[in-house]
Amino acid sequence: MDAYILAVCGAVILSALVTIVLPEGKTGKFIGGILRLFCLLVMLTPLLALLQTGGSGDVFAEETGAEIAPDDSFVAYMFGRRADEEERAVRERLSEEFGVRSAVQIGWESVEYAYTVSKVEIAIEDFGIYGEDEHIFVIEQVRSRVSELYSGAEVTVHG
Amino acid sequence: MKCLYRCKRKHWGRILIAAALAFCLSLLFFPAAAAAEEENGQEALLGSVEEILAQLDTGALQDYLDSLSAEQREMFGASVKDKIGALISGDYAVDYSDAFSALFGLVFDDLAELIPVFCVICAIVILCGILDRFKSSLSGSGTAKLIFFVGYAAVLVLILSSLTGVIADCGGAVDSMQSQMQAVFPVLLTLIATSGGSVSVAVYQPAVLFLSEVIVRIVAGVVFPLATLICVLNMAGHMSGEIRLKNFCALFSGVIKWLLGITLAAFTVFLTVQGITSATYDGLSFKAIKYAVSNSVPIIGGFVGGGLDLVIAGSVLIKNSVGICGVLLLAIVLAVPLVQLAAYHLFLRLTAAVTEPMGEANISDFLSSLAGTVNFFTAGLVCTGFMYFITVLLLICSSNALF
Repeated sequence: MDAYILAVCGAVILSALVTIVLPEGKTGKFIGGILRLFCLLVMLTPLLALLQTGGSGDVFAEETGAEIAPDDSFVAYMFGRRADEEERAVRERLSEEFGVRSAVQIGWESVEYAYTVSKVEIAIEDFGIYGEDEHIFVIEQVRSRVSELYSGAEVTVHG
Repeated sequence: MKCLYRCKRKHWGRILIAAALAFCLSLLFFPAAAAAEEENGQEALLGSVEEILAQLDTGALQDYLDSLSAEQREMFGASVKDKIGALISGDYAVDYSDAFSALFGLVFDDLAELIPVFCVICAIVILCGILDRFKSSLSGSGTAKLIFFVGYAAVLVLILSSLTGVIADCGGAVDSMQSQMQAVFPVLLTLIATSGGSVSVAVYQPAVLFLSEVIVRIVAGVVFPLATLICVLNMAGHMSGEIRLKNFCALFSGVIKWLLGITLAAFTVFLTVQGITSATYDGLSFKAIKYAVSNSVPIIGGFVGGGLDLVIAGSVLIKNSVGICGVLLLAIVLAVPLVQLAAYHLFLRLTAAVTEPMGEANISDFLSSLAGTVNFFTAGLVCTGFMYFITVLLLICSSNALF
């Protein structure tokens, strides 16, 4: 594009200067006509070539090379915090619903910058009012409840 | 019996009065409790924001800010993180009267710098006009042509010396906007991802790349060079009546108008529709997760979901502040070249108007055509700035649908 513009500017200015200093008469008119044809050729030839090739777009060939993508380390930090908050929320929910004290660990992954819970591991530390013969039942209940919250994630519950 | 009935009525009446009094007293205490809880919530939110901000990498944005001139840095502030913190806490306020005074001052300063050029051009045109009156007494029309050419060349030199500076500033402004986009957009996309807007990130990432690479290249690589070419064709076309380039100028002008118009319309409409759809989807997904996690816990204010809300809300607040910083930087970078272009356009129109009755029609027509061509530089800058602004606005609004 720059070369084309420089060529057109040069041709036009040269023609204008020569036209001014040309003598009057047939010779002057003849030379003026040649110069106009020359200007026309300089302007149109690259345009015709551009239309024939469909525009290779040398304008777009250079890229700055800069990457516009999210910061993975910050995303990992924030998703980690989100997992911590969800662990706390699940712990309190289990305490309210089942009366058990538990340790919750949520395994997450970032799938195209979407926070996805892949694994939930619950270790029940205190079964509260439930007797030993009811532990299996409580574990099953907890597993079922957490599976409803995190469908698609692998849920492991142990006492 | 009647006495017993009256006693029972009095008893129920007293109970009702006591209940009403107890209710009114409780209403007196609840607002205080609610206000205390709100204050605690705000403190917790600001604490969360500070922790998140400390982890956020704004190095690229700070480097861009340091690359600006001292006056531009003074308008924005020295530190990006300080500015973000000030915006979040509401400490930042714009003094509009000062901003407008500064802008008007800039316009008149630019016009004042062009006054000597204006005077010299008028003097040259008057001289050419006077010499043209005496054309018949000069030997041949060749001498008259030469006189006109010398006067025209002198005007060209004066115009070119200022025009090249203006065009260079326009190119510099577009490059600066590109650098800014490459600094601001990664931060905004990161914060949208951490706010739960994964679909929005997938939609906006190619769009911002298209804006910062392709559209900037169209403006800097096609629109500005074509506008420069039109300036040169105007100069050459008005140099002599033999050279007629008016329709060539019209061809290139039409190309610029179509290119800018189609790019602006297509990009803005496409991005707005996609952006709104993705924001709605992300909002629904997030609310479903939040409801599932904090559903049946009967705590006042749903505080169990509050920890998650603090993390997301902190992310959203910082994202919105970074977006506002981007808009401020855009205004700072664009203000000077736009004002320069406006002043230059006014100068050319004024000079064309003043020189028209005095001398050569060619010079006046050339100045008038050039004033119209300078508008293409303004259009290129405004289009790029507008598309950038719309994109930042959509990014700010994208994860606000979560709450």
